[in-house]
Amino acid sequence: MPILRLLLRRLGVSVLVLFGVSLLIFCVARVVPGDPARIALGPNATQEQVDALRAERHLDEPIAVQYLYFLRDLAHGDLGTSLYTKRPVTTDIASYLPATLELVLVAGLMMIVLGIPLGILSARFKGRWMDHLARLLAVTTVCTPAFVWAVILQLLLAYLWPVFPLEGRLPTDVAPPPGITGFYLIDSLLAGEPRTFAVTAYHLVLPSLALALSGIGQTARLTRSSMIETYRRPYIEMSRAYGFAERRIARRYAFRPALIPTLTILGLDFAAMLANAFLVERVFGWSGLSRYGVEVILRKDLDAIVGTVMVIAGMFLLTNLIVDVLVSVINPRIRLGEGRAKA
Amino acid sequence: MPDDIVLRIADLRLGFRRGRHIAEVLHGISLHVRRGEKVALVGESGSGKSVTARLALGRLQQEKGTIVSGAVEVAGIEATREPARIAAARGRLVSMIFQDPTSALNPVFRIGEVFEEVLRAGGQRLTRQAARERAAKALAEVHIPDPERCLDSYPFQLSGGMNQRVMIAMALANEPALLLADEPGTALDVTVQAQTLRLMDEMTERHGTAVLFISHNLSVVREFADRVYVIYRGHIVEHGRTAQIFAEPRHPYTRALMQAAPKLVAAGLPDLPETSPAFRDPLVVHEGCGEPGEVTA
Ligand SMILES: Nc1ncnc2c1ncn2[C@@H]1O[C@H](COP(=O)(O)OP(=O)(O)O)[C@@H](O)[C@H]1O
Ligand SMILES: [Mg+2]
Repeated sequence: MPILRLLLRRLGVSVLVLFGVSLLIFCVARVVPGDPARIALGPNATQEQVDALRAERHLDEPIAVQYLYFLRDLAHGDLGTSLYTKRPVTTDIASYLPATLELVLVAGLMMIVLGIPLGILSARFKGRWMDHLARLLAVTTVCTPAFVWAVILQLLLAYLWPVFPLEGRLPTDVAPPPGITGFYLIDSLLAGEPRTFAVTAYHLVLPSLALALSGIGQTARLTRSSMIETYRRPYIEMSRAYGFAERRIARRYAFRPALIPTLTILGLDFAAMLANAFLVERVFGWSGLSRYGVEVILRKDLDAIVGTVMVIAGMFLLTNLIVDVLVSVINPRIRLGEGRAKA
Repeated sequence: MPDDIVLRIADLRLGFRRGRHIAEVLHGISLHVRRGEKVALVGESGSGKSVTARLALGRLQQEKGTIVSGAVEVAGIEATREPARIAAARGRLVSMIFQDPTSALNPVFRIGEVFEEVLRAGGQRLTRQAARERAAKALAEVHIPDPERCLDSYPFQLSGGMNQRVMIAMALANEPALLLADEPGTALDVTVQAQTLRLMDEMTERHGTAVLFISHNLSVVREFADRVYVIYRGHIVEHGRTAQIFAEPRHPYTRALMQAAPKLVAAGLPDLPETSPAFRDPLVVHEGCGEPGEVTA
């Protein structure tokens, strides 16, 4: 089964990449000046206390040895302990990550459900006002970074014309739903709290839109050009000669082949959102991984830095893996292992 | 009997607007195809054969920058002035076979999926199962050895000749009155091309389908066509029954084409005859031929 082989191969590569990332960030974090133990204990701690902490964390040993300790712990699913929160890094990340993931997933969904139809319409009505509007929108959104959108949207729709909340995942008077997945949207539904669900969704609108906008533009542009390219193919002329309905062509016979090149870029855009989420979260006071990440970097909290970066790298790789699987699902040439795809 | 005529083209002119300039491509051509008749349209590449077929499908009229005048009637439907009716007739009353079957079949759908859509577009209300059975029967009819497996295949898994058979089966699946065959199989090798022509002959004969057969190669149409129109740069230059044209080609351009023909078969590629002022000579119509409604010679 070629799809399984592809999956295994990509999984193998992903593990190697993760190793590389861990090694790199491990060294970089330690080369940056500043003594993490001293920062953690504060200026009032005695030298003995600092030395004791350094010894406890193996910070007095060569980097290579430290890395081996790191690998040993990693084998047990342990990413070390934060010097700052004093909790296991995995626990910390597990409590911050869902907020970020929820934001990114909703943004990703927006990118797909808004970007792709916009591109399809644009291609179908090429050269008409619909197309011009969609392209103008696409160009404007693509060339403006997510955090600028965050500031603009917040200013316009939360401050000057307060339709949406200014910041946060929930207002202070609403208790978070019981934590099962950490995704408020899901947890509130599981707990049967439709009001919490609605309020969560309401709070998600601006930050996820800010995060998604350039992706929406990019997706619309790509879908458009890919659709236009596909519309020139002989098999579309054939579909028309045989009287296939124009709508069915747009939604099925042109769409599916056109999606193949788009999907790959979609995956990259989605991965980029993970990075952009950092700044958007700052603007909207979102207590996600960015808050944690910035704090641990400023405190030179070694294990937490390495752990956070590895989790983000892992998400990147996972996204790519999912995209690869999806592409091979819609592209029979890959699925059936008949040579490589020519898109 | 105009009812007898499935394709009637009269004084058809076509131009493409390029900025303020208009490039004329068809200069008032007339031709007709009767029910069950096989008619060839032959001319070198760029002479206006494919645009004629696309006009008959009513497709080219919808493109921006095309200027069309004259009549194109398919089974009584005026393709230029009745876009909705011709759209409904596509795949049902008139269908088409393409030059390169493999690129004319959608690469990300199985043959069976596309075939089902073809039947549906032909106005047949069938369950998925019934459509599949119909498709399998149609594939068996064009001598495809394992129709079920073929239906589950993607075009890139089949040979060009096999795809051509699939294409023929699809084209005839809804029993159209007229089949437009635009250089079928030119992209394939010579033996496969000959096979598909024989198959097309057999199939259209059996179904009583009229064919407008388009080719740049005069010798290819010899066995196939009842009548031949020779087209040169958007003008019909000679029209006659196949036997008449081959026995006595009268127009200088037809003679030049005929001399080039043996080379064409060997190389499989169009070899343009040297142009000559004599190619601009007026239309030659052989005895007993002529357009309906006209006084014949
Ligand atoms: N969509 C188009 N726009 C402009 N010119 C075209 C278009 N389609 C065909 N032509 C021109 O019309 C002429 C006839 O083309 P065509 O019918 O494809 O020739 P052929 O006889 O080889 O099939 C050619 O000169 C071609 O360049
Ligand atoms: Mg042509």
